[in-house]
Amino acid sequence: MTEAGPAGAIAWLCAASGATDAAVLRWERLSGGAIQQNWRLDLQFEGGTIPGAQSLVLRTDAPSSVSVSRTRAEEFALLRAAFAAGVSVPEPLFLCSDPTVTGRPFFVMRRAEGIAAGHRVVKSETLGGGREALATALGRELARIHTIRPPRADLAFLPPVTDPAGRLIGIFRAALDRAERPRPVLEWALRHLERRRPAPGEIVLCHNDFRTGNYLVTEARITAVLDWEFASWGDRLEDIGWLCARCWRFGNTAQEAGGVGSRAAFYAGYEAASGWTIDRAAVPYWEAAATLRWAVIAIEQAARHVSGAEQNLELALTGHIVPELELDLLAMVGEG
Amino acid sequence: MAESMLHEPPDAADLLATARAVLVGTLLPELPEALRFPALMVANAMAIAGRAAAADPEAEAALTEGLRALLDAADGDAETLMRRFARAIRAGAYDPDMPGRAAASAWLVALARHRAALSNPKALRDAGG
Repeated sequence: MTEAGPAGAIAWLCAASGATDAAVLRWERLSGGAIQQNWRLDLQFEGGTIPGAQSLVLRTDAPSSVSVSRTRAEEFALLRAAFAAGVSVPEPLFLCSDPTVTGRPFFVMRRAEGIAAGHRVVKSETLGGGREALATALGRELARIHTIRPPRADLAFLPPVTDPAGRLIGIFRAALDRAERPRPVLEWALRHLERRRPAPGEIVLCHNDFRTGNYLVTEARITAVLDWEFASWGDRLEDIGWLCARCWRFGNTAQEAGGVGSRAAFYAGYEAASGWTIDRAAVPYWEAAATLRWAVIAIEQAARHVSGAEQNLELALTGHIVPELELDLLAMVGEG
Repeated sequence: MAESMLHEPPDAADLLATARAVLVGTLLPELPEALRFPALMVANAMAIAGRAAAADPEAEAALTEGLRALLDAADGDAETLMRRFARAIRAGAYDPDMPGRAAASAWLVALARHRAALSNPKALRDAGG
């Protein structure tokens, strides 16, 4: 698209919704998203299934994307599944898989209010009803995501997973083998994860990037869990470890649930909504796995800059997060 | 770092620190909100580069020597030693109850602290020293 304007998308939306016409009230690029683009699209529909003024978001691939994540069609299916499961997500409305309409596939969802920026969210004492209410609500949202279980015909694009820890270990090993440099600290952590690899638990849908920065929150509540492009089948503790790992607290390390609230409140929200008791002793394993996962992602992001594939200061600086993650990992796994 | 007699002073670390002070003290307050984040990224990059330019080569040589001793290796450069160490860790040579485990763990902590001191010294303070 879309620099050229939304005309093609609007004509398609009118046809999809049965409207006779739609006037553009607002059209602007939203911030964030190197791989995908999000556009705010406020429309006044004449008739059809969503008549009247609608505040929407159109999500499409960035022009230069070399996408390794889910396609827009898959992300749309994930959003529908999450919406149906009662997760706070923007309601997905229409998917256009035909690339000839705007140049790339896109989907349209309702626009949710709120802020996402992690460093702002962790500083607030009031967002989401206050720290403990927000941590509890995060637990509730995650529990709803985890009610989605295989097999699901609508999510058949997700590869089957029988051994989540083994899957992660394989990903880490391959990433370290691809990396330019030897990484003894990360190997130390990987060895720890291998030695203590837990028996597979129940398989659920994991969001795989459920953390502060990836949800929208207003003063009152969480309005949307975002960024579903890494979702896979897995162990529920993968998501719990990712949210609670020290590296995703945006510096507010005392608040162990995503930098926003207490671990106890988050666990309570999760347990009340799921009826499942979190094995406290099992969580540190998955926090170490989360930290190692972020380290190998950071290495690969920096490698995109270093190789010249995509020279970018943010990618370059992401590499310099790795030593802090190494300190975290040694503190977590050094003795065992 | 020992100053090169071949280069005109001030050196790289000095220039980066001085330029960064102008960026943070003079330019940043005048920038519109939307440009603050990129400017802070530039300031961070300059700080990292400045610390790397001032890094003590003797401390790095001592780390390499420590690894050489740990591996009982007569020779090999830092990269060769690191690769060998990484392979040995993966193969389980330093698992619990293996004799070299404590020394290996101590060396990794020293390495991580050295690297964090360059990339993000705040992480060292947060880690309690």
